[in-house]
Amino acid sequence: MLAHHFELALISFGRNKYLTALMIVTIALGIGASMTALTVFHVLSSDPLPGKSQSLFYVLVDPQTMEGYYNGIEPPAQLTRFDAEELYRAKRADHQTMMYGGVVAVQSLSGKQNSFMAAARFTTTDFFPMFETPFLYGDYWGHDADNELKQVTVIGKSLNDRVFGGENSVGRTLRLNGRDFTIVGVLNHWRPAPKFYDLFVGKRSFGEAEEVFLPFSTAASLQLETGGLINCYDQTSPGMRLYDITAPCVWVQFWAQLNTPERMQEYRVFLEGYSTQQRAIGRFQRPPNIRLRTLREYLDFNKVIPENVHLQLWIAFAFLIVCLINMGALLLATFLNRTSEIGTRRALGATRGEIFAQHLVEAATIGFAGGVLGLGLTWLGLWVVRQQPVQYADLVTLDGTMLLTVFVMAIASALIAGMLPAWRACMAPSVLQITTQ
Amino acid sequence: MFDIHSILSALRRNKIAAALIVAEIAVACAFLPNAVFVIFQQIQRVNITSGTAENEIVDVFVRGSPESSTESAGVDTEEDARLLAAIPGVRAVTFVNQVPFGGAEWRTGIMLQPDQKEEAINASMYMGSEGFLDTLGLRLIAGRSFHTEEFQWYSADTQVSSAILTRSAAQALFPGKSGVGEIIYIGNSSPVTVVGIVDVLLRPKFGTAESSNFGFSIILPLKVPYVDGSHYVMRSSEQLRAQVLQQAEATLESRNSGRILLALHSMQELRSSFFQQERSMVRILVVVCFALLTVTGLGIFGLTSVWMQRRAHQIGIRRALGATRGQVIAHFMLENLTLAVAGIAAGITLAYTISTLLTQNYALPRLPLFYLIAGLLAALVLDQLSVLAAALRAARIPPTQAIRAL
Repeated sequence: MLAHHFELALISFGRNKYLTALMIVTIALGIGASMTALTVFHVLSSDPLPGKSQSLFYVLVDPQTMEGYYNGIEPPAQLTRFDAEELYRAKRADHQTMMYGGVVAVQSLSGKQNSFMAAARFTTTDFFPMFETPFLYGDYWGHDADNELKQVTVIGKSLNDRVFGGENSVGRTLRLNGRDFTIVGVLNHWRPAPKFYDLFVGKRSFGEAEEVFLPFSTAASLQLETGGLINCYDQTSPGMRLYDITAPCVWVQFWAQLNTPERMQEYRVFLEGYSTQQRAIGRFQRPPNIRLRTLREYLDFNKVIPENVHLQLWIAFAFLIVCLINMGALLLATFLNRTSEIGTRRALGATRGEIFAQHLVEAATIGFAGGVLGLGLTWLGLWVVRQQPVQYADLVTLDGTMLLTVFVMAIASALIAGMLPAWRACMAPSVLQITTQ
Repeated sequence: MFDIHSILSALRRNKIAAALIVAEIAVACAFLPNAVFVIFQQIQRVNITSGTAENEIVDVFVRGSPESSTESAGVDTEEDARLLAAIPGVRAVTFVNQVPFGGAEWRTGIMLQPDQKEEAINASMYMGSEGFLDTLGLRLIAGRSFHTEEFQWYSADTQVSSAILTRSAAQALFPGKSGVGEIIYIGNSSPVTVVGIVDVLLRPKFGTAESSNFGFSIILPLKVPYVDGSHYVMRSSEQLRAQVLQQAEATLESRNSGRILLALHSMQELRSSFFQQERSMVRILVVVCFALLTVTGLGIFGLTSVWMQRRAHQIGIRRALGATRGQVIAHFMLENLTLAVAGIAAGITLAYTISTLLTQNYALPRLPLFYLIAGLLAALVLDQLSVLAAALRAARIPPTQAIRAL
């Protein structure tokens, strides 16, 4: 039956070449536009650490004064160095890491090359296993490096290519900001997207990962500055630097890995206890005001997907709706054209249901053809997106899910568009009725 | 003369076709005004005046490395400026902490009383060496420029005694007065006298949220050495600027004082990358608008012409009974106009719904009536043109067809 409907559809296309072509182009345009926007959205909202993101938590406590406090107020977006170091020392999570980002000058040992700036992350050893960074050579530094202010570093692949020509540079020395650091590991290409672990360096949520990783304690003792956001909630006393451990300024990010919901509950209790204790000794003034957000919640809360991408998605879907209405209009036009033929078929015994099904099959076939052309347009659209100077340009590609979605969407849209016209078609009176009139 | 009754009965007999045409017009009416409004909003933003001689300016962004010494940085910076000034084609040189469209900015609160807790306005702080006004091509509209002896090297606790404001900042601080000679306070500073007013100087970055104060800038006679991150700005001419930038790079590279050249750009490049998002949004919207107009036009044309052809018999009879082609066309145009009115009514509601959503979620102003009316007219013209094309075809049906069909 379906095969017969399909055959009828093809005959109809042969008779209405222009209208059919117009319908295919219409639906292809709608699919191309909406799928391009949807793919960008899909890529930007994808999970940077699938399977693990549920157990990674961004930790916040509220060290601010009572000024402006109300129940439920959002604590500052980062931690003070003091709180970060306290929570880190407590080691109450399965893994934890504190960090900040900045830049370092990479200098040539021979002095022949000019030095250049590289983005750097100042963190602790657990950063690497927690965020599953791939290693090309060597491994991450141990806890001893964190505790003993060792001058060790892990570098990214492109820096290794640039300075050491891609060789295994583990054990060699890199001169950073006038000091020698021993390379303990080289990362393989690593592109977490979004760059979830720190959204505060230049607001580059989809920027590349850093090229240089140094122990937090070493960087802090060398007074390496943060390139991210600093927020001071109280007057600093004269002579106090923003980076001093007692400074009332937040600029450190803290992540905890909590493998089970029970661990997560325990950690929440721990954070509340910590806040209460800090309040008791007079450092905190506010009642415990903590946040423990999973990676996903954290990304959603910080709205990492650019506003423009949202807006473009809406525009694209509005356009798809326009295309569907038009496809409906054109389908109706073709169906109206053959009222007498439908009448004949009805007179020969075809039921209303069969006529309805036949026309839906015709719509679906057009949808499929529109999907094929729409896939091409989507591919073209994504190519255009990749040519744009946006941070996420290199990430935007069509994956299997989206490929399938193109066809599902095209056919579903065509069926929706074809519903009313097909119903109108099956309501056509049979020829017998016409002739008796 | 026109038979409203026959029009309505025709529409009643083809409810789905009528509904689809109404829907097409409604969606076009809802989408077009909002899209065109967003396009004009973005274009307005992209074309904002910076107040500088943009076409003639190039910028080298430098900063210190650990090798550079803080003590000699001032001397080094001035030596760099001297070398850059010697490049053929360079008319003026300055070094400054920030430039328009540069992205990063230094902000400060400006107070009118020494112990004021709430700042009067928040402004962007330009600290430029001598020649700042000339190099950037700023227009002084009141007061004077800085005197040579007013310039000092910048450090965390330098106190300045004079400043130049932009007109918009001065108007916000001293409504109805020129602002020259007034006293302001910056941070915990001692009193600062406003010595001059420049027409416009855009702040280095501004989001949609800052749309009301993107011109709030203050200029201080402070020299920022490259160790703190400095922009070497040169003014030449539109023809020579690329060459000047190249030579500037070579000149600075050849004299290694440990500074790092972070970026070299013409001011136009800075502007164009600053507004990259806005421009891509405009391109997308223009393409979508045209696609929408085309698709809608073809849709209306396709459906109406088939619908008319199905009534060829009726048209033939009308023609046989003496209706002119013009009357047949007018009949169909009027028939469609009744649908268009319904579509427009639905479209206005939809357009304002979309506008409300945009206002709430994307910090866009409310849709002005002008754009709504323009959008509705555009949709109406498109619709009537499509119908006219279909009606012209239908009117060609000769009266004999009616007889033949019998």
